[in-house]
Amino acid sequence: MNRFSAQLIKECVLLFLVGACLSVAQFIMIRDFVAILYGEEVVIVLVTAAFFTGLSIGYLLSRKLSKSLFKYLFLASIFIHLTFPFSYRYLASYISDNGDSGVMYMTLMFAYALLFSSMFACFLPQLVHGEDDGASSRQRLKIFYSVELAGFVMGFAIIGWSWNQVLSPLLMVYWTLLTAVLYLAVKDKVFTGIFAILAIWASLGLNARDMKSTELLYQYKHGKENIELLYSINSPYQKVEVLQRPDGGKYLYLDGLQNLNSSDLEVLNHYIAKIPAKLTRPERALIIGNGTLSSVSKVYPYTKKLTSVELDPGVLKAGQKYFTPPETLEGLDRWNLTIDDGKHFLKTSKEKFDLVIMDIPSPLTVQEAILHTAEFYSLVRSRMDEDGVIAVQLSGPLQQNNRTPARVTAALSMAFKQVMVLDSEEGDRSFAYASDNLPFTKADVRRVSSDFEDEDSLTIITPEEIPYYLTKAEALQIDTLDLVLRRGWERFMGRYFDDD
Amino acid sequence: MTKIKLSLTAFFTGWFFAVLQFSFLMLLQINISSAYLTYMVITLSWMIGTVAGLWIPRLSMPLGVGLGTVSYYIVYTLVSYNPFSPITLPVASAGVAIAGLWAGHFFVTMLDKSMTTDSIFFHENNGFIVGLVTFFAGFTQIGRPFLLYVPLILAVGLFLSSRAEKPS
Repeated sequence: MNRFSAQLIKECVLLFLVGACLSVAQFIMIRDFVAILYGEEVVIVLVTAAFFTGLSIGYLLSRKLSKSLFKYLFLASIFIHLTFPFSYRYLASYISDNGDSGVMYMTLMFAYALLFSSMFACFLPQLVHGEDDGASSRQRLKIFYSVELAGFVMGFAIIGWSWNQVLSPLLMVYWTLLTAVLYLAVKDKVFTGIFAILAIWASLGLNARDMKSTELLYQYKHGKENIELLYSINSPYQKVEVLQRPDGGKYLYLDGLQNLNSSDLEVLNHYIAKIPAKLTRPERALIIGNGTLSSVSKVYPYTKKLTSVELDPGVLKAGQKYFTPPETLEGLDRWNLTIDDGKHFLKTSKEKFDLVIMDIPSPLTVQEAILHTAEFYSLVRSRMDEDGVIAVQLSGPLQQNNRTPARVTAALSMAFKQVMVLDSEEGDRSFAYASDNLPFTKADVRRVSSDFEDEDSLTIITPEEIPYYLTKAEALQIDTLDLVLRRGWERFMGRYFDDD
Repeated sequence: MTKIKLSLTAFFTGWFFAVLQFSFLMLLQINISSAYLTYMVITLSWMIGTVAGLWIPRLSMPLGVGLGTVSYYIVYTLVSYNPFSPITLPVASAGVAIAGLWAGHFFVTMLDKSMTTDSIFFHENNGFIVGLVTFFAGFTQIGRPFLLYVPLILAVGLFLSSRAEKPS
């Protein structure tokens, strides 16, 4: 093997590792910043665009920087990587404590996007147009880009291994890869040694610091004083976190957005699960979502067969650990759990259901919004007989406007002939029951809910009254998901750029 | 002038790649499943196609863009009318890989036109960012018509720009 081919192999190994680092860096940055800025679709797109902007800057500078300047910038950047994810969480907490400036958050995000991705983007152009080793730029591009993409796939595999775990094992692997990249790129044993020692030192107590810095974010950015972080993992879909108040109450957060508060759980489960189950006594019932499994015990006594379908195993893990211990579900032999996407389950299942409970988050991302569309409700309708009932929480009180509760109700009205809405002051939101032939009346609902919430605070809107509320509402459909953009944008701007 | 033209071609190609990739993903997520497997299938197939595209000896822009666009509409038809056939996911995966061929060969072609790697990746990546934002904004505003028309519009735009380049 001649000197040139040995050099080529070294460069290939370097690019392979750079590809893997890029993949892991993309995952860590997007997950963490989406959770810091709260995971609406607008934020997901913004953070992803920031990461790719970092790449663009890397490409732009890759061949403009002198070798020595690149070396020092690279060294500075790679050593700062040892402060991830604590440094940006501390900085976000600091920004929050000093007025929650949107400009400062954006600056923070773009600065870290530069650190996360720019330096990795420099290698490929530099090596393709590197020293002449006999291979043409064309040949080097083919080899190097192929190798970098292969590394990216390996990064994917590493991320897959880290799912449903805390962040620290992934960070340790990332720092190990960075150590190898540092050695191959700079060929300096002293710097590599110092980096390796610091990485080992930083790995000690990593999990505790990960939890503490996340806890700090919740204390400052979410304004939850004296909160304790019990659980924080990255599922294949989102960051799943459980927090506990001093009084023992718990919160479940998904990508930085509050999914549920244990003190609200009773009300939510009462209206979305217990009431419709008690009134319909379904032969077969289906719960879509409800990763905490907290509504299972509410429906189970009233049905002959109960199926739960949840997409995210990470939420199920958090649910079983902190909200519904597995022993409470022991002996429920008429209940089964399937890990699947709700619409895939319905499209592939041949079963019919008498009651379908939609216990899913508000439509703040496209994927969540699809499960609130008229098309999805029509799919549910196709798996029901005429008097089958679907129960949906409307993410707010139903009013005569074009906001989420009215648009979801309008979508239900497109798929079902009758919709009844319960507006609960206790629950601070409305709940809808829809069917082609509702097997219960307003009086029935009032009767079974009277011991839970009195008549003054629970308003029941009958199917006949529903059209009045929908005069300004456009039904949520796959072709009209503008709500995701509009609501996400309003929330984002209100949170970070509204002076009031 | 040629430099600007090449930069614009790289930019619009990145835009096209982003819209095509996200359209494939959304098609499968709407019609089949939003499970992580769908995302993995799209991403890995695209990468396999890209690597294959880097190594195939010849592929012109009209053919590369045309193959990607035709594959997209075959997958569109298949997942819209027969989403749960056992061949749907393998065919979709093959379609994405075929669309990825140009994503690989494009870089080689642009290098042959005397563009440097940093410049190609810079402009292509900027186009990709615009494509990401366009896709999200466009899909949430108009939904399925976006999936039906926009990849075709971008492909036709690229095709016409490649024809306009030829005389020089």
